[in-house]
Amino acid sequence: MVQYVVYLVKKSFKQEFGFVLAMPAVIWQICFLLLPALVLFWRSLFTIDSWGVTLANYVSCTGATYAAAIYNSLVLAYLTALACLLFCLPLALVINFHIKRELRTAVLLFLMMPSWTNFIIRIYSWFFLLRNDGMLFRILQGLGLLNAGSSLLANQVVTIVVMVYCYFPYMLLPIYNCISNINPRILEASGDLGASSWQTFWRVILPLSIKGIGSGWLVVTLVSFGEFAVPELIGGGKYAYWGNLVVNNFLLLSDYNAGSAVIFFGILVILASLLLIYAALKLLLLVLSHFVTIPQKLLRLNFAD
Amino acid sequence: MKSVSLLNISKSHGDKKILDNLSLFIEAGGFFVLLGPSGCGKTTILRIIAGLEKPDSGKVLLGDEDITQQPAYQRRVNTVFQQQGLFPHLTVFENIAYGLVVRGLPREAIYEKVERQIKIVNLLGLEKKYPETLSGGQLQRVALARSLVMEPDVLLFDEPMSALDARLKERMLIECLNLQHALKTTFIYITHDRKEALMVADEIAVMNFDGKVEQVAAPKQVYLRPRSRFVANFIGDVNIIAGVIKDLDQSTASLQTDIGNLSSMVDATSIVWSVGARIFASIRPERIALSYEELSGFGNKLKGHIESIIFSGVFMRYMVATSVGTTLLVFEDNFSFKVGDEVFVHFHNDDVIMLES
Repeated sequence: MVQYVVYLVKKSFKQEFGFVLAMPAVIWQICFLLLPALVLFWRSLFTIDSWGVTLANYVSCTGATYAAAIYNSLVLAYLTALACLLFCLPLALVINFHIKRELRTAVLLFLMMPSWTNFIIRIYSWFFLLRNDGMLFRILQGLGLLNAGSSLLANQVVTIVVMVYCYFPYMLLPIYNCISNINPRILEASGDLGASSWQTFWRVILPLSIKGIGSGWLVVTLVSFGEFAVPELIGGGKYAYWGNLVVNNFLLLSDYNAGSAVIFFGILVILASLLLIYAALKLLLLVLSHFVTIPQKLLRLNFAD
Repeated sequence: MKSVSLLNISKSHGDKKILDNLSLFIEAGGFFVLLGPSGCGKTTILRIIAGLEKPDSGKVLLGDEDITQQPAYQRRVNTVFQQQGLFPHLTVFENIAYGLVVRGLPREAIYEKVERQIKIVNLLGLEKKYPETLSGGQLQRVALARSLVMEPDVLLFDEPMSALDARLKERMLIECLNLQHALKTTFIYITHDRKEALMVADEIAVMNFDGKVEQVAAPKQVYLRPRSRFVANFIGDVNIIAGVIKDLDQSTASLQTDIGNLSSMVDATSIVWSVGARIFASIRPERIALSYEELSGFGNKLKGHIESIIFSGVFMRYMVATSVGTTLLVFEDNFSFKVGDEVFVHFHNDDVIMLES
């Protein structure tokens, strides 16, 4: 075994240096991601009061309360991703096509700037902005748009708005990256061949940004699936989320075994749902291709390639 | 096929005036070439015809119809862009079908037209390939097919061959020319390459640096009877000699120039000249004959000696110092002259073109 590793390292030294350069990152990933994950997985197979391997922790994840929390997280994740997409796609288009080249980086930087602040601080700023003696609330009240009894906090819409505020860079950057790589000449060619702006959008811009949308969607759903601070502080904490389950098990109940099971169960659910959506989208495109012409490349839709 | 008329077109980009009150008539069914140096505004003319840019003032007519205000996607005018114009996410087939798909044609019609077009431009077997995997010539054919399949009234070419190597360029040009003869679609082709222009054009418009059209005529006319110094220079190598008109009759002008006394044929169609006018005489180097002995039958005879020689394949480039002192460039397929040889320089009256100074 040791000999084999030595052989591999020697070989890689001879063949390409890249493997060696990647080693720090690989070692980091193994030590701080893979090994802890394995430890957690191992613990998830035992209950707190017995030493026999069991799936009892996973079975209890399917209970009504847990299932509801995971469902809430799923809804939150997909609503956030959808809202981010609806916000970022037009934004990326505007930045790329309507803002002068010299100003684009500045605009992007300006949009990213809030992310340099601590996450919790940003959410608290929103909290202070929105609460009943907050600035926004008072301005709206002053304008007569809000009744005395109403509140800006503790509702789903505001939760999603703040979620988008927190996570849109993950969607914007990959989409913008794709769009900025589109040669403006092919958009002219599209118009020249008789396509209206809408047709150009559907047939050229969207297919060429699908990879960015895909990776943005993936990242936003994954990070927002684990989110619980925003719904807690902004959404009024009326519902429990996957993140709450994890925190409760680890920090309140000190049941690391059950907590681990919750983690893996949640990951399984979100990955399965993403795969399901991907398959459904592909099927939809296939069915659609019988009625409208859809580029070959989209039929072989593959976000990774 | 339809004619295109540009009437008093002006266009500025910011402070920079690109076109100033330009008018041009492009005949239906011909191969029209706009020739000019880079940055002369020829691309702007093309984009105005395509509808990709709007003129600040003036009108664009397609046939008799005023299309100045029509957006690009409504015009029955298509453009063959430089190579980068293909859709990278679509196959060759889909690229060619694009215009028909957005036009909403039934599927069978699209397949039939695209397949026929693929045969015409010689792309069989490449239908499922993506642009990134094609060669320069193939990309050019796809771009051509994509526009041709739309059966436009007018087809525009935006320096399409500039990225191809010389041999391939020549082959593609001949393909283009054959297509044009077969289809009779009006082709408007812009280029800065005079060889391309002379090869394919029925009519050439030569533009100068200021975006002004200096001459519109058949290639032979433009080459042999340039109307200005700029045209004479731009369309090929030329000797330009300053001089004064000494005497003038119906057919011949006597000139006193930097290389001695010359006679020039007076072209009935050209400018009205007067005795005493300062002019430039232009003589194409390949219209000049060199010899050791004096030859008869030429209107102009000079003495000189060979100053330098450059070999360039089909002919030799001789620099001949005339007895007066000014040197002439001469293309001669007789390779036997050597540096220092005393020679006679001959050319006909009608090869001396008078140009306004």
